[in-house]
Amino acid sequence: MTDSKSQRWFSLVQRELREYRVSLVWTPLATAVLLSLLMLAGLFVANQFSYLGEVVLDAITQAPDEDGLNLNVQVSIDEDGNRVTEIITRSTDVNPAGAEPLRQDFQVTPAPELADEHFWQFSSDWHFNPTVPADGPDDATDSPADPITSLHPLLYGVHAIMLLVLLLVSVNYLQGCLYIDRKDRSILFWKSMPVSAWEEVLAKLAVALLVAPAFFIAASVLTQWAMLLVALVLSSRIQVDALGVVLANVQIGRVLLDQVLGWLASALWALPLYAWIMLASAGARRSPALLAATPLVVLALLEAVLLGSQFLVDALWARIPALAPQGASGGFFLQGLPWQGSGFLAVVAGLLVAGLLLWGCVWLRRNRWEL
Amino acid sequence: MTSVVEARGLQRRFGHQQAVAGVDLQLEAGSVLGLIGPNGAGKTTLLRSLLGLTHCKGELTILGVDPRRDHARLMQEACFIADTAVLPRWMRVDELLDYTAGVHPRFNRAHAVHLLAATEVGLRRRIGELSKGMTVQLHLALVMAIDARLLILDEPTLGLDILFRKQFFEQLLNDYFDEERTIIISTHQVEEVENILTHVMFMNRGRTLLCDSMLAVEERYVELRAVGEAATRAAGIPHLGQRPLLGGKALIYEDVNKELLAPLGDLRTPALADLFVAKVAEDNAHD
Repeated sequence: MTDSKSQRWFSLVQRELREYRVSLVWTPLATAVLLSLLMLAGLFVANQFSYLGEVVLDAITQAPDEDGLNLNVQVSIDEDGNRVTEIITRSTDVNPAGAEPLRQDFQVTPAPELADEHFWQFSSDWHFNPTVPADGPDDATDSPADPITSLHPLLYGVHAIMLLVLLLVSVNYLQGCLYIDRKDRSILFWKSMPVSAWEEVLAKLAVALLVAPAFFIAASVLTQWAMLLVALVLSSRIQVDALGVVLANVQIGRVLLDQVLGWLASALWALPLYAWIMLASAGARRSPALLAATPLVVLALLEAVLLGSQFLVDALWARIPALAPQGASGGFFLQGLPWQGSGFLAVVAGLLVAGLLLWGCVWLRRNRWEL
Repeated sequence: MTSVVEARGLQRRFGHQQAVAGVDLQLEAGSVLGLIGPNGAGKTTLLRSLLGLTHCKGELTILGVDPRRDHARLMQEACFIADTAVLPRWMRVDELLDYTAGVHPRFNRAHAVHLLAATEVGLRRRIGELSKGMTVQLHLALVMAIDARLLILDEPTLGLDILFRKQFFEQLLNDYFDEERTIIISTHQVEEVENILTHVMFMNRGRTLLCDSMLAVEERYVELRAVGEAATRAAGIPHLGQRPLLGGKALIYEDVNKELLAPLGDLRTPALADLFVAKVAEDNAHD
């Protein structure tokens, strides 16, 4: 029984992946290959011209430069002692201390006694700078002017590109998933199969929320590992212990965990938004995208004109995965809990709204499927 | 023995239009019902109501299930071919079989492959590339490989040439139909299904004009072919409808004493198409 049940869900998901083969399966692979090729090209150029090589190394090490735009990893401890990490883009201010009043910020570099395995300096001139052991994370707020030097920002950069592509692909998938089969009348075939509307809707949601992201995150991780390999090759030109240098500047398991858990958290947070687009897809007669966007735009405009506020825009913006709710500079949100600051209640409310919207999808799918 | 289909007072309204206006229908296992009606008579709406694909009022039980509440469960034992073009065009034939095998507990994939082997439908072909006839062959093979108790066909052969149509119904009757199964077919091609039906139902403007077994139809209706003077006398007897013949008339009577008519000319069972035309004309004349 459980066997046929899982077989059933597998078939439902497989059907989605087959219909959206290009966007859900080939796109992450193509993006991964493209990014890897770009890196290889960079490596090739770096080998040809040592000057450009420096630039690439600078990029890898994220040494502060005159462009003034740096990706930095900020690790901080919140009141509960949980470590919350996020990437922030800042113009010139490398020191984020004091940015979050409730939390104690500290830099990654001056890591405590675990320095050997964890936090090595990885500066542009390829010197090892084992940090001085500190007493603990609470004391680690010294030397705030030190640049954060690790491979993580680069890896998260790759991940951010992947998530951006995922987001575009997901929106396209969601707006079409309950509409296209109504348009081409193949819904009459799907409805001739013993599959309930709930199963259909939930399978499609699962594809958008979990399965497609799994593909994209897997592609992203592979690309990141390819990038590490590039870093390895690059540093082996200069350094004898290339492996040591690269591995010392990256915590592969930690990055992986962050990215996977980060997505799960984002998915939970974005659920009502996804369900909303699905509802538009289930109800649209002409254009699901238009149906999804119009009410929101109208409401936002009304709010702006009548109340002069932009609560709705802010609330919607905050629900979009991978975009930081509090990232004033529009930085990517990749780690930690997206509802941090907005509270547990917001998550629960979001889930309730999502449940209602999904119920609406099912009702429309059952009763108003004819175009 | 319980009925496969039991419907009483089925109603479905779209705005001002009453698509189905109080239809009763009862069907036992082992029947083949032909649902015949002009365009817009409500045939498709009635069939969709029976499947739980559209809202309707009235009492309705199909295979012991209320399709409006338990559509998915019903579809385990009921199959449905909507018309010629509803298979997903982006899918490959083998992908369609994979999917059906995955979600349908009564589907026999090997049997479907066996049935398809007799056609020109290749397993690796994309459905969108298949001709209309091949798509129907594929759908029929899929449905015939499902061990279902009720098969509902809504204009299954629309737009197909006569060879495909003949083959379709022959295959359905010879390789699929048995005492346990029930088939409902809606169609315009009355002549082609006439000989495989056990029951017939005429619809016009959402209402049932006739719903009976073919045996009862043979009992109740008679066509008289008369020439000359006899034709004139025959026209004097109340009849359902008439049409001109070479040098005479063909008249259809309902519930008359056949011995009374016998002296006037040839008696025979009317063709369903002629009976249908007469019934619809009578119904339209009433309003």
